[in-house]
Amino acid sequence: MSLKNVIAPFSAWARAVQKPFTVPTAETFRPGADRYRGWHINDTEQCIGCGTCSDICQNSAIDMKPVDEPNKGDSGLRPLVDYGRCCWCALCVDVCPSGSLGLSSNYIWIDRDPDVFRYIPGVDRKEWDSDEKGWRKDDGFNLVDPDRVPMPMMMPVEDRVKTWAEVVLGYTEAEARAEAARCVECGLCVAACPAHMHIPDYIAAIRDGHYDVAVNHIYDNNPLPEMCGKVCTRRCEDVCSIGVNGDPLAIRWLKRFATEQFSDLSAVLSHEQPQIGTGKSVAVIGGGPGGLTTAFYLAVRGFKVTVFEALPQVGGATFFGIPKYRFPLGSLEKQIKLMTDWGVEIKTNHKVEPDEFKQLQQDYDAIYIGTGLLKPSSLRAEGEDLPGVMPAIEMLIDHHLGKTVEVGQHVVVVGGGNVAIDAARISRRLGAEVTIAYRRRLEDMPADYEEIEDAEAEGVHLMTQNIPLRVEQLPGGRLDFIWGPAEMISEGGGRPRPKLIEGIENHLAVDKVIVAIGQKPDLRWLPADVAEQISNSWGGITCDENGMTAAPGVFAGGDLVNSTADAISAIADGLKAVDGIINYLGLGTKP
Amino acid sequence: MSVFDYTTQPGFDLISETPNAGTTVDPKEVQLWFGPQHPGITGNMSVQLWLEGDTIKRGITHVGYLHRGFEKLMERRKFIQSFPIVCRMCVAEPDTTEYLLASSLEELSGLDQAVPEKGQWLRTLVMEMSRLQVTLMVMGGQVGTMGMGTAPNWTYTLRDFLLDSFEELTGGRVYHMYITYGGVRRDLTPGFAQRLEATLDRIEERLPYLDDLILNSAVFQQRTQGVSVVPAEWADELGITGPVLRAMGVARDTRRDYPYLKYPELDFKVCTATGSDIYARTQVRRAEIAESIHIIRQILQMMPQEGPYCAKLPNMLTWTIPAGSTYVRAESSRGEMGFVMVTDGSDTIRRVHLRGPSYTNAVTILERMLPGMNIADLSATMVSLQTCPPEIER
Amino acid sequence: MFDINHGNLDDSPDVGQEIVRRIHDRFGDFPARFQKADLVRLDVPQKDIIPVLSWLRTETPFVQLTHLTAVDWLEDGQFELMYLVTAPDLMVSLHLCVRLDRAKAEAESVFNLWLQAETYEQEINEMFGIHFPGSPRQGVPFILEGWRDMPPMRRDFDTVAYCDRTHPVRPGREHQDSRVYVGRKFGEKGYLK
Repeated sequence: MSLKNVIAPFSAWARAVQKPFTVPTAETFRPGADRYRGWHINDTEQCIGCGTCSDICQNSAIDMKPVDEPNKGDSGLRPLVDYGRCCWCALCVDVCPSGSLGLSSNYIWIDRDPDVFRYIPGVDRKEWDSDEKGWRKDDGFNLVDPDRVPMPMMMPVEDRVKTWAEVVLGYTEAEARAEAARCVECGLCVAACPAHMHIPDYIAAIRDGHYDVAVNHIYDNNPLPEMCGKVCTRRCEDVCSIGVNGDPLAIRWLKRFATEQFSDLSAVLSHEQPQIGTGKSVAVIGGGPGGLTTAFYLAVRGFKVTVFEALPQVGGATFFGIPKYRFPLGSLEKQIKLMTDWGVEIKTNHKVEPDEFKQLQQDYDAIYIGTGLLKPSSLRAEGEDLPGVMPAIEMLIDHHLGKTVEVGQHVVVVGGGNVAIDAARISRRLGAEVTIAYRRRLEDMPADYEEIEDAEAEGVHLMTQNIPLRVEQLPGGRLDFIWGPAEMISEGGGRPRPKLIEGIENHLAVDKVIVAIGQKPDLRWLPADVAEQISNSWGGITCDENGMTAAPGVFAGGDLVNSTADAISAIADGLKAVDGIINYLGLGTKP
Repeated sequence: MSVFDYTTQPGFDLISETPNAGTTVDPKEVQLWFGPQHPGITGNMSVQLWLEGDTIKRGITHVGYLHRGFEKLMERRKFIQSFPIVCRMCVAEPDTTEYLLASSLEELSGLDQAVPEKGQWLRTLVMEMSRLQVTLMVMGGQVGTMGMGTAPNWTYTLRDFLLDSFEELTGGRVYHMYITYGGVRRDLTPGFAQRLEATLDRIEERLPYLDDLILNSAVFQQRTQGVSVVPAEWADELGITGPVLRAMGVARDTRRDYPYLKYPELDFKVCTATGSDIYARTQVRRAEIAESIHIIRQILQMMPQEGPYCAKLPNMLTWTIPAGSTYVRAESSRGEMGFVMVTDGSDTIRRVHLRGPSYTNAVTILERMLPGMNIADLSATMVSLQTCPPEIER
Repeated sequence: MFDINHGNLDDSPDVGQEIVRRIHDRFGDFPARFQKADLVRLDVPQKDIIPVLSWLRTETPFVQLTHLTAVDWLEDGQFELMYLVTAPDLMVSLHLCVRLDRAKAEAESVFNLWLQAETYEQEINEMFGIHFPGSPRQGVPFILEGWRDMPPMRRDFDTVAYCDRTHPVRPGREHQDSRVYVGRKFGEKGYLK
């Protein structure tokens, strides 16, 4: 032991007079770091109530609670945090698909009552709600997968227009399971789907490789799932929580994948519905998706159901309105076969006339009307009666019934909906140069965005903010399509509306003008008194909440009734009519 | 449910629940419980001692005061949910266990190839910062057990400046929850490197003064030199690692021997000392503080400023990992920590087992060092072995 | 360490390959998986494990027992013991895995090879109920003093039920699963099932 070592520790005395580093916390608030993980905050406007925060919380510290004023399209729930359990790991923040949840940098909160440490961030106001600092979601770190598994397409694009084969190839098993694994099972899609399909359940079954279970979930409220799997307007994907900050789940393609796994559906499907309808009969007029839905689920319950279809093939708009490169006939026939196997009687080429309707009312216990919209809206421009100007719906029906459709070298399609796109893509396949003329902007087009992309890829030329002025006959049988440009005007709260810029006339020489600006109801086949009784101002039919018209025992649904005019809404109407008919006949459990 | 009764198990009658029951009581013998509530014990554990005068005749380590069943909890959680749990396996040094969890599951899932360069650097950075802050704490704790108050005050303050950096980078001071599958959770903040450099300078400035208080102090030398010597022949037999091993003069270090993260690209030496006593172990720690500072400076220099810090992850709520097993290791401040990871193809861990240095240090080694030890040296011995009860009990 | 039949292990370019080859020659053709540069997994039958471990401990540089743990394969009716044996100077580890009959749950102790095995075996005995005859602290509580239930690391021990029993959820907590809540609120029902 040297003297140096004895003295050495005393060197610390030199620091005795230095100012200490410690801070008196009771008097001085030490703010947390910019990224501190303190008390929760939640932007309730952005929050969609998907409950993913609650699912990932390993401490079960988060409960989902119903709140009074939810936003439109969300679940109506908001997270409640129990700080008796929370460990401030902030996984809830990092997983939040909407990015609404965060942690503030505030970490001091003193109270004698332990029960106050439990609140709904954003709803129960706290002083740190407006804290700019704290832990927030970061783009570089994602606990859910925002990127959709790409759908393989028939390649190359230029070859697509030479064939009627299906363009979308469909997921492989590995792709489908990878895509299904992206789902967080929040169920927002269930609310958005008009038919309230059990979407998270069948996606989970696909993820686990139980495709038969998936198909059973799918058939629970959709008898045309392969059709929906290919061409549905998929409002479910619009609300998908993963879609808020990424690509929504490919719900439609997953449904398609599951149903395509089985060529014989009756082998995997089963039902245990009580045969309440034995001895009762129902007539379904119009074999579209709504009518077929009603027919199928009533037949399952023992009703004797007959479907009357005017065309040679049932399916309604899903048959004649959808090109075969999107929805091959085989897919439709497979689903129809299950219906007939399970007891639905189908009479095609049978157009119901007014007198026959009276007879049907006598012979059947209930009638469902689902005849859709078939009368084309007019172009309301001079020259619309010229030969060569044709409604898209007639072209589609003729084409699908195998009749020859002449489109010539150059076609202009007026309109921006799915029918317009279909007419355009069919015309491409018939060998024509195609231009689409649409009144509004590209982003306003009601057609499915993927459809628009595909059409462009296939060489369809899009002209937007284009208002047709008139059509004139040119020498040699051609037509002069004269149009004016439009500017978009925002008035009030509605979407911007196109206004013609006066004085400009553009010319386009074409062989055909295909008009696809919508269809209208046509109820002339009904007896006049019945039509009068059940129709409404725009010529459609009004139903009550059970799907029944003003005429007792007469139900209706589909495009005639709803405003959305898509297949899945028609299916939803059909489901509503199933319950309505059962209750009307006094067979239901409801009073 | 069938109830398992260990009292019916073979061997139970040999040593019953109170280990001294049935033995003759020596009138000169005093039985003493050191811990679980004693300021000199290293965490929530206790040592049951039999003393004669102030000399320990024998002793038994008791753990279980802190058992939360982490390994079992992780078997019932999704992979991502395990990650707020592992940091609690060693309170002072959460980053090592976080890294081990991440790297073991990355290895089994094939995600390890996807971890971006910057993520690797940031992982190395927090691992080394973590080693530095714990070593500082243990240095202070070492003299604290001998009743010296100034040095612990200094080292704890210096450690707190490092915790400020952790708070800035990870959002938490103690439980960082920063290293995760695919990389880390957040990027560097602007100006972080400068602030960390300032802290390193501050630590470096204080080190000579700390030496005067600790290693150069005659009192400390008297109390520690030749005290609690771990025999060299135990090294391999008991799997001793870390500063305890390096204080025997054996230059083994997981960072160099089993290269991981960015350590192969860094220049550092394995610090050793001779004597295998408390003094030698303190010397090793003192040298490692300087070495860690050196490493962190290199990391700040070499780390890329741009680029992603985390790989693209699959949906963590449904992530499944193929069946497999592995062992990953990393050098903590105490020595080799390792995770045995077994997966079975489901979305949860089948079995995870933490191998920590405290496990043998605090039980097998300590119990064998106790006979003949003066009771006043017990705390210092336990700190020098860096016994950490949550790591033993998990 | 010099092995008269094979030469010095330290000189081998790939220690993992070489040690596995020697184990295969000496004890039998156990399935081996070369997982990474420093880790080889070997699945050893129960009858061979003690001879292999003794040989490694006494005649090779694999002198260190880095850890010992168990896995419950409830579905297979088996326990698995995992011994990690390391050659610290060669920086290679062998993961030796043994399946045991779960109903019998007994294995030979390695206490006389490695001192610290007493704690590992004590913990496995307590947490899995696997008995190691001859190991000094079998049946002595390690972590779970006063525990009277099934060994808790067994897969059939229900952690959730145990937690509900011993740490009940505070009153007033009520969780709505969004999937169920949305389905109910928006009239979701099945028409087939």
